[in-house]
Amino acid sequence: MTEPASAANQAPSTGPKPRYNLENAKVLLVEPNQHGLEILVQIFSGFGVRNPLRAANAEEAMAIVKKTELDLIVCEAQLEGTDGYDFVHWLRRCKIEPNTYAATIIICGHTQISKVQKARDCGANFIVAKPLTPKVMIDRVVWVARENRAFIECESYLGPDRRFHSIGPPPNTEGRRADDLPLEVGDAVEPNLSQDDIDQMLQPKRKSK
Amino acid sequence: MSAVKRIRVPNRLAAVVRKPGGKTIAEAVAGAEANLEAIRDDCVAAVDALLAAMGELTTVLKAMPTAENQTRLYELADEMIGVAPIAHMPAVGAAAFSVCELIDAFAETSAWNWEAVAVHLNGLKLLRAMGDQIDEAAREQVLDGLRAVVRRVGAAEA
Repeated sequence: MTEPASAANQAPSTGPKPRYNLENAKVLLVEPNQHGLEILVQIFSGFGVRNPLRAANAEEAMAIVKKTELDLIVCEAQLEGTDGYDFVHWLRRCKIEPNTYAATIIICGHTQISKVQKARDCGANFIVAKPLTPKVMIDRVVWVARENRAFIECESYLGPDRRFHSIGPPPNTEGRRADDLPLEVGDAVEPNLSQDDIDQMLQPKRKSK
Repeated sequence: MSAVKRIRVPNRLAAVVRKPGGKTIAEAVAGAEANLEAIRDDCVAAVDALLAAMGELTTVLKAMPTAENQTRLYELADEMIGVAPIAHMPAVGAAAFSVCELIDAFAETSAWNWEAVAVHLNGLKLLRAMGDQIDEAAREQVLDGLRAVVRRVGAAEA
């Protein structure tokens, strides 16, 4: 999953700073360890979230998903029984709307080599490595709130589009999407622009009042 | 080649955060940092409890290096990665990450080396005991030593 630039860093440097209202956000925090959960609660309470919902394992989280409409789910990868990746995989395919499309951030301390592919394919919006810092976490929350990625559904994956940039299909493949363009540029189908046309496009013009 | 469907869904989180009021990013970060500072002592106690549990388990592992015991050590170290930095002990968290790397290397290669685990536990205890008294260069030296142990274990069994 490609790391985007910091959302906070993209804010304009002048003018009023943007505000983000998480007071009424329905946030579910899934973390099996008491101290880990307390850390998450304190971070999100500091962001302004009132009474975040809490779950200690995937089964508790699933029960909450079935009865409460959620805006954001933050889930630890290492859970007893069904792990965080499998929980998100279930979430994306459970067809419980709107939660099946809820913004989801997985947090993890260490990722086992055997689980790297699972992490990539589970369908989370983001994976954030511990140690958690409020700055990194709010950046990711704001990024998820601002993003407009479509969901992709295919046999092996259901989740937000993992292509952050439109750079076309992977090398030496034709691409599977209707809007994937071929890598080779075809012959021109219209006359080329004249130098005058190009100059005209580049010439700065006074803004009309 | 499987069919790919693109689904456009409204971003519920975006609709919520746009409502009037709320916090700037700086205010949100400051609020969260103040809250975390308030639980710092709890996190220090949690680090000590985790370290004690890891010590007991390391002793058990000498005689019984079962997959179950190794997994338990991995889980304790994984928890330490998240808690130690909040207790202002980032080096302890980094050493705990090295424990996870070590146990993962054992799992990947079916190897086992108790001495490598014991060295990590001693490193963790040292970093915890020294705290701020150990300078950054010395701290990095300890962590580099632990990472070198992980590399050697991985290379020896590859």
